[in-house]
Amino acid sequence: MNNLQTTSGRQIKAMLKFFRDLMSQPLSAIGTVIVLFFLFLAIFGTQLAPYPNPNDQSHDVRLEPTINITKLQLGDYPFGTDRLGRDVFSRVILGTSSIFRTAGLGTLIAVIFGTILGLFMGYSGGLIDEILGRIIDAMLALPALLLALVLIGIVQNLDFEPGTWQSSLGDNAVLLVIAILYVPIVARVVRSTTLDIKTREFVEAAIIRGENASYIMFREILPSVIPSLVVEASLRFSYAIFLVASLGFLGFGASPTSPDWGYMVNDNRGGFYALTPWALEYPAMAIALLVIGVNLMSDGIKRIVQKGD
Amino acid sequence: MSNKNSQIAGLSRRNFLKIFAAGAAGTVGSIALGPLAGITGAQEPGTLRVAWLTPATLDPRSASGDSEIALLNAVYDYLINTDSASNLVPALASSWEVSEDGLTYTLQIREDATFHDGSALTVDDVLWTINWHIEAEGTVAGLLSSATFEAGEGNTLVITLAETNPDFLFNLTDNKLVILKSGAEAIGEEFNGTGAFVLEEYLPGSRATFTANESYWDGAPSISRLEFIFFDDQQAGIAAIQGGSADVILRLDNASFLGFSGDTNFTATDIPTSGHHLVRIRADIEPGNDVRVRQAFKLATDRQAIWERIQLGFGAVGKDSPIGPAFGAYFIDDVAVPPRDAAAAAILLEEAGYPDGLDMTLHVPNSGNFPDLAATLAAQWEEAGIRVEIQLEDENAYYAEDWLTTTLGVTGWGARPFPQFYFDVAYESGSVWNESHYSNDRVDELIAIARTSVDQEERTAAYREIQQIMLDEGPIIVPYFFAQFMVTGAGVEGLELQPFAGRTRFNTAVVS
Repeated sequence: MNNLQTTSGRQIKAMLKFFRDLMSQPLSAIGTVIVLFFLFLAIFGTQLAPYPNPNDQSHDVRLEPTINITKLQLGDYPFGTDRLGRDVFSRVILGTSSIFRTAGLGTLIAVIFGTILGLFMGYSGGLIDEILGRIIDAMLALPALLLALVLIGIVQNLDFEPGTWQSSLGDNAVLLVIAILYVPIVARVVRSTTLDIKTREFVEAAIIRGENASYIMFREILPSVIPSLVVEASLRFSYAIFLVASLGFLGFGASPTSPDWGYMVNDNRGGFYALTPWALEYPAMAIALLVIGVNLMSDGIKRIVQKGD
Repeated sequence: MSNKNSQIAGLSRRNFLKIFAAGAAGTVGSIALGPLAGITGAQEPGTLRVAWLTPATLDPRSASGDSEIALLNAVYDYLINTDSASNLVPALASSWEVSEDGLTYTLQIREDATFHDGSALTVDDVLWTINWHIEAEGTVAGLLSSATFEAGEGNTLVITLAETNPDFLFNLTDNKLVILKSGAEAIGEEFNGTGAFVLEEYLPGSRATFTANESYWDGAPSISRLEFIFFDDQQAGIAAIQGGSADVILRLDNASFLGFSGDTNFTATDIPTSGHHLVRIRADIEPGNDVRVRQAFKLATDRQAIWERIQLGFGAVGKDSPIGPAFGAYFIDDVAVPPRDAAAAAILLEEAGYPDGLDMTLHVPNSGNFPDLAATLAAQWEEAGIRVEIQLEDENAYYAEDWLTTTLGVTGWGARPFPQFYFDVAYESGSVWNESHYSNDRVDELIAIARTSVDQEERTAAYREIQQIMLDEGPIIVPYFFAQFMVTGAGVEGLELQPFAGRTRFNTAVVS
């Protein structure tokens, strides 16, 4: 039997087609390339960065700009050094993995729980759907950043025994907050798609067959939800990146030694901006570029999905 | 669904929106510029405009910030001032004598000082003010309650101590001890002082304006008007100086000051102070209770490099005690600090029972230079096997309780005109602010000697020995003493910057 005819072969073929479609439009191609580039940095950052220790202050070169005006040549440090003598290029690279991890894992967790919740609400209907729906509406009424700050405040003020699983929750407060924050909106998207698919014939056939609720939700409805879920997930990811950067800017989830992009932007404002503007500009550009890239990619995904309908 | 003919008050919708937007922008703009209204961009001759952060309270019992003390300092006077070298300078006390046994001080209250309401200053006003503070039971009461105060002959103040205290007169220079008129009311809201300036108008959060006191005992000020302009944050004040809407700013961050240093349009002044930052480890519990661990930390630290990075070359390098170059002859200028040796530090740790190094949490108040200091310490210590996780804490929360209990922490200490204060409160066994819980019998002995000895040589020897002990094996690392900064615009001269910025006096200013 031809390899391409097996189930996994078909899935790989579908993914390749998906990727080709993404790259066929110029804007979504750009976005995808950007995202893949940063993903590469996130995975191989420690090997790529010239100075893999983000707090490496050993070289005695501080306040070094990218282009050395007096020597009219590219300095030794592509992005210059900051006021403590740390290589900005390395720190931007190293910061990629933490922002991907926090925003990516947070979005993934939100998508998983939001999907389960949305399927459950859409399929159950009735009072359960009403009550959960109102709770979700309440959470969505508040601005995301505000809610994030409240949640972080709560998580950080809980006193945990160091070394327990609870304290590692506290360490990953930002990730947890992202996950909690985006569950409602994912649930709402999944719920509305579920309501639509619930009425389809194959679902009714499954109900008549006597399949139980979780089979119907996960084996019948979920596959049809996935296209719009993927669109929503990629959109959530772009918001999550910006939220992680904003929280880092405000000082949450980052320490003076960690290469958090948002923290680096805040750290180099004010008086220090006059000394080392590049130390603020490169992390800021990285945030902007990644957010734009994910947005463009998610536009492309949306276009493909809508074509498929 | 737009109705092309929709009209609001006779305007088409599009025009209405344009005008509304313009009006809104204008309103927002005038509100935003409100605090600056009335302040001209150009300098008026004879007027000095000083940028400060907004004061919170003007009650001398609780005033503490630079802007608060600055306002009090303009309208009131102190008995004695200090200069930038920590010398005592007569003010309302024109001269003083100390008895042979060192227990009685006689201060001559000057005869030519008058309050703004015309009444003359007498020793009764001084006694009333001192009693007012002692009854308030604040920090001034703590400084003065061990002495008795009485009026002597000929408008003199006679102070009797229970034991000798060579630094006692410095207590009279405390920021809060402005001399009020006896029986004064609405203190902190009304200001009837003997000072060089008379408060004309105070707009909380906005500005305070003063006129010169023509009958000031030290000579009428050269400027006829003084204005304090209040800002919510330092950067806004810096922008005002750059833009020319203020003439003087004190207390900048090092980086902004560095920017002004090269600019010929401004005069940038810096003076060293006794204020310092330190990192301390608790000496009463593990691991800091082992002297080898403390020495390992010290060996792993390069204070010169920290000073260059964090203070950008301003102020001075420290030698692990609160005494620095600002205290002149007391300072162990000639003693060399052991150069940084991370390998030796690692060996010391191994000898102390930590062959794999140390993993600790460094608690740091989240303000000013502290995060940078923590990051630099972490980088230097890592090489010696000391791995610290930096925990930033809200400054107020840190100083509320954590700073006295954490095992490893960074703390800032403000400038004082004499060193005994630091030892009395932080390094004597059991003292109230002994954050490192340090207890060394010989150091305690020396602190007691220095506290009461009127023999300058004996004092200097005691201070020098304390510094040597603390450098060798004490619980703190003092990488630097910070500087005080002032930037003045063109045409401003005659200001003498004080280590506590709020004590800078403006009656000597000349605006051309």
